[in-house]
Amino acid sequence: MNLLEVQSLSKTYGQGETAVHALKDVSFSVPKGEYVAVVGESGSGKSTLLNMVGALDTPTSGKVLIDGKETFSMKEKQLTVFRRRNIGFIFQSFNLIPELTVEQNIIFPVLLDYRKPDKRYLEELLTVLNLKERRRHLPSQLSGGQQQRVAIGRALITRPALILADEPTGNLDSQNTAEVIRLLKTASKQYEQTIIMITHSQSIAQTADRVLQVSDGVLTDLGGCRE
Amino acid sequence: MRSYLSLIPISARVRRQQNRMTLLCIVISVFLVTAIFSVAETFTRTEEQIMRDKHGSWHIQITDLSPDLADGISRRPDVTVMGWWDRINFDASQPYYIGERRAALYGTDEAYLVQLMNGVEEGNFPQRDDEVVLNSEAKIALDVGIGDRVTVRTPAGDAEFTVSGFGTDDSDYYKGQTFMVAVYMTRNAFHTLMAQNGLSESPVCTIQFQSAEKASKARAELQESGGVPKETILENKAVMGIAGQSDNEAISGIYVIAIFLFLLVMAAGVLMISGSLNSSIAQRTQFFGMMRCIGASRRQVMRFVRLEALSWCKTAVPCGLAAGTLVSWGICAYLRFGIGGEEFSVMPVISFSPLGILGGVLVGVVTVYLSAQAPAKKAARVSPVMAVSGNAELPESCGHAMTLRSRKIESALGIHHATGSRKNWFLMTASYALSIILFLCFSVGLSFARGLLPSQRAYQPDIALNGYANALVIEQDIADKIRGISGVEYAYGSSYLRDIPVTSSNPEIDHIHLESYDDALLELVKESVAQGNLSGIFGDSNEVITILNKDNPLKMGDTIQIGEEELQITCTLSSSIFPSKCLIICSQETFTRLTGEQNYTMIGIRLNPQADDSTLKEINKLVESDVIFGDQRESNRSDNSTFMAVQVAVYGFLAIIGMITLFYTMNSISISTVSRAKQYGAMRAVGISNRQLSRMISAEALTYAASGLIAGCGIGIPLSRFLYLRIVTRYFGTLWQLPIITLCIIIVFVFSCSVISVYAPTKRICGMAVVDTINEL
Repeated sequence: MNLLEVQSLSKTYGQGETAVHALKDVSFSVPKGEYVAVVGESGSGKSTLLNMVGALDTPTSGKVLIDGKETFSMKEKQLTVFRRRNIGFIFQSFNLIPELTVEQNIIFPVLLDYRKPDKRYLEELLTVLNLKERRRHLPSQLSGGQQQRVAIGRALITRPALILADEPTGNLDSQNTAEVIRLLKTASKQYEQTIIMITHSQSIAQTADRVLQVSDGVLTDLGGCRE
Repeated sequence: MRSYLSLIPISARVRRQQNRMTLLCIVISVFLVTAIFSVAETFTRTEEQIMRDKHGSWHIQITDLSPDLADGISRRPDVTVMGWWDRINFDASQPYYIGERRAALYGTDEAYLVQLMNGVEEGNFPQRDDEVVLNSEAKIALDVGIGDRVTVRTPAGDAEFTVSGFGTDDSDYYKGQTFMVAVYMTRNAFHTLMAQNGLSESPVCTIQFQSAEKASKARAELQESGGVPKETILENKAVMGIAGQSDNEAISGIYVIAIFLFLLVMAAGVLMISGSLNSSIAQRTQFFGMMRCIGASRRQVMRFVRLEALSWCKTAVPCGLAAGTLVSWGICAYLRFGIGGEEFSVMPVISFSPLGILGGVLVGVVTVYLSAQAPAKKAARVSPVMAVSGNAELPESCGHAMTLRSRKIESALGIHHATGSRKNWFLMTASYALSIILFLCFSVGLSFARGLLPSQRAYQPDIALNGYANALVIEQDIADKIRGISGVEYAYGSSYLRDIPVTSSNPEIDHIHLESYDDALLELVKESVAQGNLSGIFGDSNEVITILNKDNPLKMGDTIQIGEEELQITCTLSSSIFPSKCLIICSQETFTRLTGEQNYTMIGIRLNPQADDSTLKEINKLVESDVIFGDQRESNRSDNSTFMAVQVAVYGFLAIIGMITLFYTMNSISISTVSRAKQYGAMRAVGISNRQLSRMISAEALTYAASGLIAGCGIGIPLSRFLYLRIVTRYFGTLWQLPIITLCIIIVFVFSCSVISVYAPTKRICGMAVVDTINEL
């Protein structure tokens, strides 16, 4: 069963002669639990695609279905709650909340839902992410790799079906990069989560189940790597 | 592009939207100063005109001037007009009469009465020695017109004159006065009368110079080289003072207030503009990093920021000047047509104030330059790394972790945002607190002003009939007759006797002054009761009233023994008609029992709008020559308009302070949201709803409001109570009460500020695509 279906997605910025076609009729689908890497040159439309999939931005035309539900037909309020519960985001620049501790940052999406965080799951995540010792630390007291692990924890806490990562290792050294990728793959397997990750690195792309390439707004499926 | 600074106008065009707040701040500062100074200048000019009308356009007067010296002065090139006057019986103490009224006799020339004093309102200055000008009130007092014959009775015999006109050189003194009449005759006629009565003359020379400055110089010369003694020279304080040649306190007071307001507005302007410039710099850290990266020196970045700020003045200053001038016209129009009265009815509405415009330009440019200093330094400190790293921005407030007690994470975060930066929290709290404290204290000032102005009292009469030297000469039935005249709203009577020996429970007291209030007056003073109540005072009783103020040793509960009668003070009032020291007030019946006196000392009359000249004539007919007829309508109107103007000034000033607080709050919330835009973007990506986001920003704004309210009321209420006790209770006896209405207004204002300040940033953040908020910085 496909968790994600993208149908004829297009995005155009500007009008007339100055129009820029960031995405041109992009269609693909991703089954549940698959780990997909998106590669491409700078300005090719990778981030635009990820933003559309995550319903952070609206397309000019086309549809995105997550778990059979069309995201762009939802109203803003409904979409916010849907995003909160079903999609986890990981950014290149971490985007943690500076005044919250590691633990608070991780449980933040649950608190936004006015729910109590699942303590066992939180402990499990902190253990997996190797952040137990740092749970009371502020983001400014952490290294880049640790901050990105907190961001991963925040993306996983709601047990979302889909995790979108925009160059999560872009600001990290090779050792931390390997660690973050390992964690993402573990999560994908352990919790059966679908991951779509943008990367510039060929070596990281090769660790994915499937690689999609975006070039001038056109998407090409490069097929599986690991098999 | 000719230099790197050419980027400024290009950047300004692109960032028009973002610069709007800063421009608005500059416009407001310029507008406020222009408006304040324009109104102050117009008011001063009007005051100058009123002073000239009231006190004449002369500069100095010299008594005991020798004919030679007078001749020398008249030939000075800087002297424009020189006139003479002399008078007798100004205090009506001597037996000079015209008709039945006492007469003050003046001997003047035309230069004095017409040119210097502009004193002839109707008819002409006497052209012959048997003609006189009478003050305008004489028309009612003597029932005469121009061309009528009048007889001046002097101890040495009568003199017949023809009335050639009406007017006076001292309208304040004779206004509403029909007890005595001013008679202006030629100097020859005056000389003849003085000679007949065997009196010597002491003419006063009145001189107008080309300017106040020349007058000031000439005065010094006359004293030094002319040998004119200092004490014989009198200057026209009103005219000299307004020209800055004297130290008239009222006039210099206006300038002091204007300068104080100028500094206050400038400080607030620096705060506002600096705040919004800081936010503008914070938004463009990467841009300045880029400039440094490609080779701009720190000095160049500073120059860029300063010039960018000054370039905003090009549009903001003219806008502020135009708005300030228009609003000053509106205020002048309101003062002239809305309030009116003697002070404002001649105020010009449409006039340009050089001082206002200069002040506006100065505050615009200086404030912007001063405000740009700190942000320019901040921009110059930006590291070139900022250009290449998009992740270096962390708000300053991440020094400590927040504790999550509330289940509402967004509210908890909002409160944490407010309290995270102690400096910012303090400034915001102080900004609110300052407005609240000023509001509470100015309200006390208004209560004091109300107490000071007699026209604000319920029993203030339009017409007062007073026995000469407070004699008990007005029969009670005159009050009844006056009540029957059409145009009279009410009339009350009061009797007064000074220095009655008493014994008292209060050892300081050995004599008192006794005053009576008739029933009508007792009803009117009900709202002036400070302690006790009036119910026991009415009718023949042993309960009496005193006045609560610092000069009066009599207190509530004291007993007084007059002859065999013992009286007890059971009530205190905040003010009285007669001087309040050692004053006992009782009912008319009690007064008659204690003293045996039936007559009134004074009758106070309030007229209704239908009253006209015939009403005054009828009242006047009932009055004997030993009663002073005082028409206080004009001074009441003047007091009322002064009180209105004080209210307009106070509330106007408070509105300005309130507006500054509002803009400061708006700016701070805006800066706060701008600096957290990326964070909000990330929160939105992980699922915060617009409602939660707006609740978070509201929680931040409400935290400032609440802390400001607590600090403001915490300091303001005790302070206003202290001031009230010191200045209002002490002088007028009115007791302090919690100013509930004022507090309600303050609470509504503070929370409205929060709501307004949250609206625009929330709308902007929520209206942006999530992607844009993440990429904001």
